[in-house]
Amino acid sequence: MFRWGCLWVLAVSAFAQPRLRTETHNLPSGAELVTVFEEFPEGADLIDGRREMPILAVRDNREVWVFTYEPPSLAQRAAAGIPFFYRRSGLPGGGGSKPPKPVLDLSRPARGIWKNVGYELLQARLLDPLGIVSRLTTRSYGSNLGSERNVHIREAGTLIEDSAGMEDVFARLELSGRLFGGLVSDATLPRYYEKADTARAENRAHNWELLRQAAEENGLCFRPLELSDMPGAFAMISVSADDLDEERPKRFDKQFLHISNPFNDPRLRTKSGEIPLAVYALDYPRVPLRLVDFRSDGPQLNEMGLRFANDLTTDVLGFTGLAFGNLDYLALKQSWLFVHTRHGGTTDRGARERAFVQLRHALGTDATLDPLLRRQLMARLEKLDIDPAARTWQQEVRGAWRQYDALVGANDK
Amino acid sequence: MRTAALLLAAASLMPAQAAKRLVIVKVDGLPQDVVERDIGELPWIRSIFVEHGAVVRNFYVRGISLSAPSWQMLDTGQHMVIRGNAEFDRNNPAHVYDYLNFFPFYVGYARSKRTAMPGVDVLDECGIPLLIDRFAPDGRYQSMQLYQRGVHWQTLGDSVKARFEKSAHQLIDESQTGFDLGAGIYEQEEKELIAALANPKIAYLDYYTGDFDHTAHLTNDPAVQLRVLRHLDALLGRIWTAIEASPLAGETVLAMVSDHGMNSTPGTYSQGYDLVKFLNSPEGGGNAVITDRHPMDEYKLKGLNPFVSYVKTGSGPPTATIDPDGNERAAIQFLPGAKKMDYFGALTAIRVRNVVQQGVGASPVDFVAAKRADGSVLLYGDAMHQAVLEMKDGMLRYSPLTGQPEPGYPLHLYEDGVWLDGWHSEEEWFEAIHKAKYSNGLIGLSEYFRPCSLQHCRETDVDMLVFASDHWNFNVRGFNPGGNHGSFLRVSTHSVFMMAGAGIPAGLEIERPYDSLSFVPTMLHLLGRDERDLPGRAITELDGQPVLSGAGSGLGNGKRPAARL
Repeated sequence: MFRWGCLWVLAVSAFAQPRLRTETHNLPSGAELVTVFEEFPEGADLIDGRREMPILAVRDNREVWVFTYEPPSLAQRAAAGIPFFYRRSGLPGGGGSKPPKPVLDLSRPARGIWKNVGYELLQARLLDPLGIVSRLTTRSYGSNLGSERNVHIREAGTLIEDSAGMEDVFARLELSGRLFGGLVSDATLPRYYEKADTARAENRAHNWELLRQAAEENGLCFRPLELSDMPGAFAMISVSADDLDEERPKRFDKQFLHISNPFNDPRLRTKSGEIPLAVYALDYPRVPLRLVDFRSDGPQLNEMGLRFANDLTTDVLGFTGLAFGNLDYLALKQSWLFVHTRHGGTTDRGARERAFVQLRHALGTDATLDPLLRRQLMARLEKLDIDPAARTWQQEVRGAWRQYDALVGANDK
Repeated sequence: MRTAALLLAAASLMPAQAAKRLVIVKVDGLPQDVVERDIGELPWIRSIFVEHGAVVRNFYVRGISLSAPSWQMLDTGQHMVIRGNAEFDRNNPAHVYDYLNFFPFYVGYARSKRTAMPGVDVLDECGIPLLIDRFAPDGRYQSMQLYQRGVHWQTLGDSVKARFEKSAHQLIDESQTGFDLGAGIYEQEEKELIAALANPKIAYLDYYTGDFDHTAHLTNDPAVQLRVLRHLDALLGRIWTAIEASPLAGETVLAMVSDHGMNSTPGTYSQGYDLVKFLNSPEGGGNAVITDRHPMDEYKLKGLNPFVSYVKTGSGPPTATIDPDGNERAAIQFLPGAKKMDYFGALTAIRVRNVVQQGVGASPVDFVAAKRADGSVLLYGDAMHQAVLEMKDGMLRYSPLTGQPEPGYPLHLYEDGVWLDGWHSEEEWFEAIHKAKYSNGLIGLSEYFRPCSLQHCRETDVDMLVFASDHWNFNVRGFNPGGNHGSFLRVSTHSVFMMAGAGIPAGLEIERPYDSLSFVPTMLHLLGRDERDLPGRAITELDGQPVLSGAGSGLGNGKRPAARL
């Protein structure tokens, strides 16, 4: 019989929202610029003393700027093109004094699609056949920068998802990451929003319960993290030092926990009290995504392994397109992905990166977690990033302000 | 909508007369409380039923709040014969009655021309007719549902065709947002129903939707649930508009009914406990357990097999079966070879270590119910809180076995101040307890354990029913964190029954409690075809004079119906 070792009685407030405010700026041109700011609660770690950060702006209900995304600098672009470079470069973004370009035009959402299609064709027909070096550099470049752009545009989308009147903007931001997303008609946007919002609510509830049951069966403690920005979106697994001998399970099942058996870990024997083991994102499809493993420093080998396998097969071996011979590989890859995903594997790179950025944002704007734990988590999280073009949280906040100031400055002229 | 409302109001002023047609919208798992919570956002439901029709505000599942048993009573008007969503033949546990699985039905039809869902086959064997059996085959339209006669290949085919017969732009939209074949079937059924309304020979039509139940199992987010309700509301508006345009406009009754409620609370997830693993464990007797689905089938390749109805866990020959479907209750049979032990004590002593939500305790099991040798029912809360329910000639008596009447006994009647001393009729109990936390649980237990001489009842008899504590469930197949049902908690049994048209009084709110057995008698009564041998009573308040919108409950908008101005 278990003793009652894990009491974290919290109300699940999965439906709370980030604290957003909008500010309308009447421009000399007669246009109207509506900016959405996120307010940092009392107790959050401030950057440059700012109590809020700009998230996005919409001019005349048409053009949309997203400040959580910053165009890459030349140095970042160069780093993004280095093959097998699985480290954050730490280089600053490219948002300077020049006003940023809008990321999408709500009145012409299809704009830019054919450019992207052209780039895909160029890659497949011209750059891939040139050889390994060409494939490695161009594909690394495209993949790293594309992923950085999508994940930070969708970061803003997540923040406004529950804001009344922003449903269409949310849908367009989400669709902007898809090659043909801009072709979706305006009439379909409400349905798209409904499906995305429903999927988020269902995933969060499902993963919350899956992780709780996994903790329960393995003698661990489950603790939902009610972060200010995204309550209910993350959870922590820990073990009580007293339980290491007393509550040892007969068999440690790591299928959904994705951590090694803590009951056999001699490093934990010297600790006392509640020992944090891992933090998980609950919005990931089907299974909780382990983001932070407190017993592992540095980037996750699993993440690097998946990237390496993809780069090796696609960029080095050239298994691209639907050419004869590649089909066998594609069939094999899809079969492996299917089986692995079916058994709880987390194979969606885009969703993984999104969860990582969401947790970092939530920690950066949080005031509910114990400050020591929060900073420890943030420090560990920053070490996990393996995108060369990615920025730190401080860089992201400063970049947001820099772009906002440049945009307002240019529009005021 | 205004025109339709005027027509609606005019229809509700007509003198009471026998209707000629029934249109029944069957909504799986829709709780009356949720409809009342969101009524301000549901203009068609408010207009059709609340303002211009009748609402039975205290309509309950009789017995277990599960789809298969509940729809059986709603669709037949007869006592419960099917007692779970899956049942095992205790003489041959490999023989599983899997009432919710559509795949074997369709494949079975293709192979052997089996023409009815498993539940209908059982009812046919027991000689129990469905409501639709009162209507000629060419005088009825039945949608896809649990108690379905015949197959709908044409509907399936047309729905797929309609899904892809779209403009290039619509196809691009769907390619980005995802193709939804399930929605396509509902759309096709709606088209067929509306087309059938134009045929005056068709006197019975129904439309079944499981969308709300499905969604509420997965998420307790009220905004997401409201979206589903809005779609339902719009559907009712389209059906009502089609009724008004049909040849039998003034003689058609539109009814909406649900089979159970849903214990779905914003801010509280429903937590699962795996009773299969417990029964496998030494604490649970080390049983080899048969169940109807793979535990956690979402994460297994074999979980992809849609024909599975028999899964054994544990080693050795099977010693127990468990039907955990429905989730707030599990039905257990012990087979020869099962370890003799105190299962009552073992089940109610289960505790979990993670207590992370307000109002959700460490005990997954609320109480266990089992039939005693003398026919009475034991309700086991713990060693100190055992009660007995006795049934005799339509009278019921609930009394403590292990002490004096005091708080802590199963069903918590003493806490709610609704305990009745001595023998009382079912109607007296119903009136006394239906608004308590466990609503009509006492009657539900008497229905479940009612003597039944049918061979099917004997074959599928269970040894104990295990009821989950509030916000707990026993779903092992996957997860239902949004909400569950299956128990006697009022939130799980409180269902929807609303009617309008064909002289049904406008704005009538019926407060008197009714249960599942009243549905068929009421429908037949409205058609002027009362049947005396049905066990339930028809809702006779519908015979009264039309009344102004009650609005006392706050359901209506307080305005007089347009036609009365």
